[in-house]
Amino acid sequence: MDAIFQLAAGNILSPPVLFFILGFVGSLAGSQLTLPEAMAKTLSIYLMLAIGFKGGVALAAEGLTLALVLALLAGAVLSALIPLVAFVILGRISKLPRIDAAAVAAHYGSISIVTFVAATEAVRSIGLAPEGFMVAVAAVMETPAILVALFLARSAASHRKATEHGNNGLLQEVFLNSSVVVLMGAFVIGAITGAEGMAAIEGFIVVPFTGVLCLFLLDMGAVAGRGMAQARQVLDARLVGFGLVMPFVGAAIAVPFALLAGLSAGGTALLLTLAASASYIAVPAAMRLALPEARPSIYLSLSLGVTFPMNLTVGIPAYAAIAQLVAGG
Amino acid sequence: MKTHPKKQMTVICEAPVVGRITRVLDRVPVSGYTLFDAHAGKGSEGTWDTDRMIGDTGRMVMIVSVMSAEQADIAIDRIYEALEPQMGIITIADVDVLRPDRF
Repeated sequence: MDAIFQLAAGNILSPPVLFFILGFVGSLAGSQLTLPEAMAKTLSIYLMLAIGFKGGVALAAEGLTLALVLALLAGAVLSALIPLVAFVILGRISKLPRIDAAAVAAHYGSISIVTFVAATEAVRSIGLAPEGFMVAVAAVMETPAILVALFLARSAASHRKATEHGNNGLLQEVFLNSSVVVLMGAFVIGAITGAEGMAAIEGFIVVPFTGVLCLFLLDMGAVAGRGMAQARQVLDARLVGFGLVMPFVGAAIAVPFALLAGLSAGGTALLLTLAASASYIAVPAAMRLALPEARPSIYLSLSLGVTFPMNLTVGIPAYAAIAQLVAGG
Repeated sequence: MKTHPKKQMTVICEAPVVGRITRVLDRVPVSGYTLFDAHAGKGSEGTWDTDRMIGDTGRMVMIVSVMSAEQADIAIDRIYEALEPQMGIITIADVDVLRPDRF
């Protein structure tokens, strides 16, 4: 337990997390701090490119292994399974209409790439070396949850209506959203060019990485702070409790999958983080198309205003500590 | 200068739905349309501002298209159908254009 607290303290006292907290507290206090949207988008593309490329280079060194296939499978199954669990829990503890519960469930099954990037940085900073292919696992986990949520909401009338107007291409749009394309593209480029490629662009993607992450998380902290301000108006205590506890449920479900796939402690920490994280960019946009009657004020404030800040501060070190306990390291 | 009567359709909708609306316009087909990013606004769901947002959810876009009355008749039903479960505004106005062959 001491080790968990030490790790948590170490994580919170790292520059990226402190900048996140600065943005978060600043925006809750009423500061108007924001980066221009184009800038935030550029920073996020940089982070995807760097993290994807590093993963690809690591993959080139590791070679293709059975663990890669198993981890991809584990990711896909987790992404489909977690929404079912979330949906059942929401049905028990809240009075959310079925369609809102299904939409919320989709968010928790899918992932937050920003949380993944922050976790990668945190896990590396404590000396763990996650498998390079975890980047691909992250990409695989974005979409299955949406399918499951649409299935869960199938009885709702609006869904039938929306389907008639063409959800064709919805999954394709989600799967091919810009972060996944950059992340997977950079991953492939990293895998092809390997150590030589890394040597060529190291100065761009390795050294400035933590600084760029700080700047990006400063903005994300402000965004999450505004999300929480909204959450306080629209969420009751039970839903907030769900947003705080569901990540740990997701992480717990992921533990046996990580063990079965034979992941290292670093890889396990990332799989737990992915299972714990909730989408707040790709899935909300998909839900506006596919389940227009589900309320964004519920699902967006829950994933962005409650779960995301919890994961970045307390969640990630906890998952890393659990990973070290179960996978050794 | 001689002018010619046409219809101008203006749709304000959520960014994720834009593709659905432009596909309808393409199928009518209309000769063209222009998209504008909306910056901020207020509606039945309260105020919103793109500086305070992340991702496409809640971002609004305005689509403007000039067309003949016949095209407007076809487009309005299909767009209403596509937009019915969503938030948004559809208006049609009488406009005069200088080059009728363009629309």
